Amino acid sequence: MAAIRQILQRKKAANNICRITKTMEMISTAKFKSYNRLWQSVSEYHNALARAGYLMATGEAALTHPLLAERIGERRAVLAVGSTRGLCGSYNSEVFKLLAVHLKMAEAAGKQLDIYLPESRLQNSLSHYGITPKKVYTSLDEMPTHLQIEEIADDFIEQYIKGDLEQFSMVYMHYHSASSQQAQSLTILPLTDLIAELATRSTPIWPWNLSFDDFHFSPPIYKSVEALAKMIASAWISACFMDAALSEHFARMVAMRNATENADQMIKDLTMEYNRARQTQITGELLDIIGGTGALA
Amino acid sequence: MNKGKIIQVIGSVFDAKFEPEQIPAVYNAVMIPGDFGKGRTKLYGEVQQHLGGGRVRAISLGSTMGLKRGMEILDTGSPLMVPVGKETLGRVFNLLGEPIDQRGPIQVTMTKPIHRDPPKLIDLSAKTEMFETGIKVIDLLCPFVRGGKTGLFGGAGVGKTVIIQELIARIATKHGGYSVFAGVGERTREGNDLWLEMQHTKIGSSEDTVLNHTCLVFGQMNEPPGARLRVALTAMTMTEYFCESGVGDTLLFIDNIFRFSQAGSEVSALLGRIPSAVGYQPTLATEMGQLQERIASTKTGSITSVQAIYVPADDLTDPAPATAFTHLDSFVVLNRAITQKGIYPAVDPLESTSRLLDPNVVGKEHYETAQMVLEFLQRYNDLKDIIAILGVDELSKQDQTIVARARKLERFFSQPFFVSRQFTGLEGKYVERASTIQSCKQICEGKWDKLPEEAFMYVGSIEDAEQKAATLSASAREK
Repeated sequence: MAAIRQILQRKKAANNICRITKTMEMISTAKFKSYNRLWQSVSEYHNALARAGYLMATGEAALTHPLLAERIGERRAVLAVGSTRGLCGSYNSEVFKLLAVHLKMAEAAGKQLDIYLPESRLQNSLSHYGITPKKVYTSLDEMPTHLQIEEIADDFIEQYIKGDLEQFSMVYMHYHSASSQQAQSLTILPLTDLIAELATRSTPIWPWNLSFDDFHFSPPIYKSVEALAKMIASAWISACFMDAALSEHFARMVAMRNATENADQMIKDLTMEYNRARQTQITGELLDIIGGTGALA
Repeated sequence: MNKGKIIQVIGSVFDAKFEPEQIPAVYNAVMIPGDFGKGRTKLYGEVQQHLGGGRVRAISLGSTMGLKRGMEILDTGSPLMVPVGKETLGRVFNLLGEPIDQRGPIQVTMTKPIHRDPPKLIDLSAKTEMFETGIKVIDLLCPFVRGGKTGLFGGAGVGKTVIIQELIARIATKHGGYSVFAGVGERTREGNDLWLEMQHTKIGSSEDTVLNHTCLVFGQMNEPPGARLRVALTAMTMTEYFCESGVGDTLLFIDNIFRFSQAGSEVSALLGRIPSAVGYQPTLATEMGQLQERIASTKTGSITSVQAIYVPADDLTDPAPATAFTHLDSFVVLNRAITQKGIYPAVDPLESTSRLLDPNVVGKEHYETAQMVLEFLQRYNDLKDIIAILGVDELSKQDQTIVARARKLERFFSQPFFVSRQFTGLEGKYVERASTIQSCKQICEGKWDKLPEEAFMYVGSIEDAEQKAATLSASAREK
């Protein structure tokens, strides 16, 4: 009897979970679709900026700007993007693993590593290992606004120019395609590192045959270099956020689909177990009655 | 001797007619001389009911093959008498107290009736002392009571008999007193294995074999229900004598007490009783009580008993195991789900328990460690459904740690056995209680989080696990 009630209880629980996972899958699918559209339209802009940066960095006339210069310092910064909600498979743990690699590398190099985070599940993992992030951005949405991004970018650029910072990178889930996402880090500052890293990526078509000197700049490049550099930095920070959001919803979609399937299977098994238990009980009762009357007759 | 005649035979129950004033008393043994084939010249029965008009109904204690109406039947004037005393040691008996090991007839000075009252309330002794087995999961979570009763519950094929034989190997070889083994309705082959095994095994470092300190009583599967119903009482009578003669602690192993209930249910309908729940005899609790109450520790000596109890269809609420439950001090519940993970002994840590698990008896550290282990395992159990649906990644870090440690504990509770050496190729391990407690405590506290789960399979103490982890990683590197 007790066993039957327990089976029913478990079945109910599985049913409730299934309802939630099904809904979350639908929501994530919708969000993923809309982000995907945005991502496709915006990535052209990001790639164009990367190309411009590449041309700028490989030009014959050497440009000197503090954002382009490499720096030896004591302190590195990392902005790690995780998800605020769970139920997205191993999404957060993979980002956290990469973050842990950064922590180890910084330790090995004898540098201080400051961690900046938007509010996310990564906080739990960090606090579990006793690490306090330098700063938690509490007002960020999963896709921050342009102004917010600029604020973040300006903050790090200022620190970099002041010489407080040796390196600034993003740690996030990179979205290659629907079949492949990967936790990745992207160095934003110094900008030369960013450009070098982007140049090794295959996504944009690189203007190998073009030269920086083929272009005429107005106002002259030494005047616009700072604005361009800032644009590139904030554009790629925003690209990271977008990749992260896209990957998160994709991961959640997949995780929730699997969870729904698992829950369905469990409900099926439990239903069978319940029916069998119920039938056994009925059979037992019938046998008792038949046996009893048989013995009395 | 009063004589009567057989008037009816129904399966293993027969009716006989005596002169109305000469009818045998209830529970008296009756004997039918005659030729029953295969050299059997006698058949015993036990009177159960008086039907009126000088007719009695009796259950047969042997096969009724060859039994005919009109045969002569004799009242022996007493319940079945079986030989008791030191002469019974080293011998194998059937329920009638006849030796079946072909080592010649037995000469005893005393025989005792198999039916008697349990010891009186005031004669019972109330000692609570732990009985170490060297099996980690048992010592930690369901410690045995010296002079108490332990039940090994399990469905078909989860390893009850192996555990009972292991306990004989572990306890009887160290034990100073005598042991009695009752084979009730189990495989005849197992009885033979045990007998051969006991002839080889020595007690401690002495030259004495275990068999010389043990008496075996068998009424196995091949026997009719009457035999299986009474064989436990025969063994009980022999044990009681050792206990009362003051030779100290006597061990009684019964494999399998469920067959006793089952045999009772087989004859119950033939005796005209109305079947009760699940078709069992209405007298189930009475029968079990009469047997179990006799397994008691008195002021003159104690009986420590270990009983295997078959659980039909893995359902512990089945009336037969449920009736046995109430008599026990320590419950070791074996679980099929654990055998499916390849963990032996398949003791279910959450279901098994013991009266002894009390800080005043086993000590504060033992008690607290056991509670901590149970907490981990309970939490893991609660999370299992969530893990099955959503995956481990969705758990909080704390829960993930708990799950990892619980899985390690689960594996750590496997242990190589002495009796299964020829199958596993692993030497049996005896783990002291203190070591078990320390190991489990350290696993819970996270000292061994680094070791892989496989390292905890089939090891003794935690140091063995550490060693196994080292060899595992070494062999992985070679590949």
